[in-house]
Order: sequence, then structure tokens, then C-alpha cells
Amino acid sequence: MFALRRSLLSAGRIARPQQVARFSSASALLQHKAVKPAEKLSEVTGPESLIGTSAAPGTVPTDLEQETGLARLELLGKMDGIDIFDLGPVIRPQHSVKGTPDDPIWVPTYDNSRIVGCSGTPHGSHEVQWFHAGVDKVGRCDECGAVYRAYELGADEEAPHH
Amino acid sequence: MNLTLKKFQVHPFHLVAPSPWPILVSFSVMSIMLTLVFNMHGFMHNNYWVVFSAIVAIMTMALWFRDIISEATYLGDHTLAVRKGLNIGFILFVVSELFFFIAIFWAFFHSAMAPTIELGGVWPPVGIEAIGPSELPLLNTILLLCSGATLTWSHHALLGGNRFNTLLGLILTIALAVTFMICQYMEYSNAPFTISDGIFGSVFYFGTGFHGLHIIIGIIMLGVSLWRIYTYQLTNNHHVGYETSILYYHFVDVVWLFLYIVFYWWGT
Repeated sequence: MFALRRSLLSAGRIARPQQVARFSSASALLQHKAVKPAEKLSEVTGPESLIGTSAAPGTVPTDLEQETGLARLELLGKMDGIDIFDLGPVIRPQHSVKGTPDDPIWVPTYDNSRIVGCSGTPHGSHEVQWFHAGVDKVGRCDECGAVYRAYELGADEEAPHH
Repeated sequence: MNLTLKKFQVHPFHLVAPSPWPILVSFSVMSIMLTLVFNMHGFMHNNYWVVFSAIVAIMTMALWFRDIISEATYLGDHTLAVRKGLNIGFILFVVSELFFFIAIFWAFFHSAMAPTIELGGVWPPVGIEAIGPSELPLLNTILLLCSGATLTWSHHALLGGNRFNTLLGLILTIALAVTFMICQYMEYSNAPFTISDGIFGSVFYFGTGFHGLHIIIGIIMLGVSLWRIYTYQLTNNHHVGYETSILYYHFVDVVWLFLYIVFYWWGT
């Protein structure tokens, strides 16, 4: 319930102020078709371009027509052969050298640090070692000495609430 | 590509927000249990509280499921990873249901395979006129097998994008299930034994009664799916609620086959 309310609030924030004033209800805001829903990953401009449309009357909707939000982003990525969540290990095939203080392996984080597990270079060459990699303070693997450094993600103006 | 990670969460998981429903469901379900126990112990004027607790539980569940439908259909929180989690969770629930019914069959076999001297050493016990497999239960078996077929037809029509056949198949399924429940009601009304007629009556109504309750739940789940297909909420590929309803319905269908073979055929 609260998630809905917050999402609608954030949807309201995305829209321009005069638009918000024009729509009497949240559903009217969602049905607004000013932004064409993205049908390719390259057409995604922001959350408002990920609101799906509806199917033609009398037909069964398809995912491309109706998928919305993060699920639509994932679908568009899959259609382009891209896993947008990229949950696999950070492997650097382009230069098979371990991270160094000057050239660390960068790890995305929502916080100011993240726990990483190093399995050596090349990938899988030693037991996984777990340690913290910070934004300000790098993390080093006890086993192979590889250096990891975190960089912050997340919305600029708003910190995550949970 | 003008996509930046900063605009979207970088993981596919749905971190649920604070919600009033879990604690409300917990307390209302606890109330149902307590008030039912009070009823069984003969507390006076307690029926109101049983009904009140049940109403609160049903309303809270409806509002909770409404939120989940909103998150899935209108907010797009249900990525592939979330759908996988929901499916696995539901399969675990069905496994727990399976063991619930295994317990019922265990109770039946415990009493039926070595009937005690009080029962006359025979099963069904002396004086019990059991319901045979060629009577109403045979029609019930046919009804449920047909409903399983129409349900599969409906699902395949949805996968193939045929809206009319999807809705028709699902309406037929629900109609067959409702007919089954009417037949069960008639069977119960005309049965020559009651739940208090010794162990036979107890395990018979234990098994068939809980099966009937599960058919009712299946009808409600399929009814919600019917409404969601009718209102264009489910796509040909993304319909976790319908898939889990189908799984549940087929499960209770199979349980009936075992009930038919064991309770109505072997056991009589």
C-alpha cells in the first residue's frame, strides 16, 4: 500500500507541475499518453517512458504492449540481448590483470561500501575471499592482493528509504 | 544508449515496502483460531466473533492481494527473478498441502488396514453403509477430469493469444467445479452416516471435506484469474497468478483421484 502511494508520489514528481495539476487522479496520470512507451532499450528516457499501453480490445495483451516499469526495462534489455541487471561476477576479460591501487576493479554500490568476493585473476584461481570495498577506502584481497573500489549509484536527489 | 543506471534499481528483486497487511492478517487468523476453539468448547455468543474474525481476514487478504496485483500489473515490480521466486514459493506451498493430504490418508489407512475389534474387525465398520464408487463419486470424477481438460485448453489459448477461447475454457472450468461442489453437497445431504458416526465418518468427512474446501479455494483463485484476464491484466507470457491457480487446481484434481480410489473404491 505504501509502495503504491510512494510510487504514485514519485510519478507525480517526474511529471511537470502543470501536468500534475491537470490530472485529477493517479490513474488519469498513468493513462496519460504524452510519452510514448519505449519499445526498444535505446528509446528509454526515464521511468515515464516505461509505462506500457493496453492491448487492442478482444486480443490477449503481449508483454511488449503491456509490461511496465522495471519489468519492461528488463524485457527491452532481453530483446536487445542485454541483461540490464548484470548479476554475474565482475570479470575483466579486456585486461586480465588484477586490480591495483591505480587501476582498481570498480564495484557499484548504493551505499558507501560493498562486500565483494574475490576469486582471483584469472577468475576462479583461488578460494573466494570476502571483504569490504569502500568508496573512499579500497578493499584488498588477502589472497592475491587485488584491489577493489566502490562507486555510488542511486538517484542523485533522493536517498533510498530502506 | 541514454540509459543510466542511476535512474533505475540495478537489481531485479522486489524489496517490499512497509505494509499494514501482514500483521492484520496474522491477528485476524489468530482470532479465527481462538474463536473457533472457544466455539468448540461451547462458549456462548461466540459465533459473532468467529464471523467477525473471518470477515476481517478475508477483507485484509483481498486488500493485500489488490496491492500485489497493483505492484505486478501497474508498477512493473515483478521482474523475471521476482516471478521465479513467486513460483517457487507457491510450489513449496503446494508441497505443504500435499503433506497435509498425506496425513489425512495416513489417518484413513491407519484405521482401515487393520480395523479394530470395536469396528467389528472389518472396513467399512459394521453398521456403516458406505458410498460406492459407481454412485455420485463417479460423476464427480468425470466432472473434475473434464474441468482439468478445459483448464488446460484455456491456458493454451492464453499462451496462443486467443482471448475468446481463454475466457470460454476458464468459465467452463469454473462451471464444472461448481457442479462438482453441488454434487458433493447432495452426497453429504443424502449420506447415511455423519461425521460423528465413529472413525469411518470422521476420516471420510475429514478427507472429502478438506478436499471440497480446496476446490472452493481453487474456484476463487480461478475466478480472480478470470477477472484479471477479462480486464486485460494478464499477458500471453506474464500471468503468474493464473499459472499458480492452474497448478493448485490440478493438484486438488489429483487429490480427488486418490480420494476416489481410496475412500470410495478400495475403502468400501
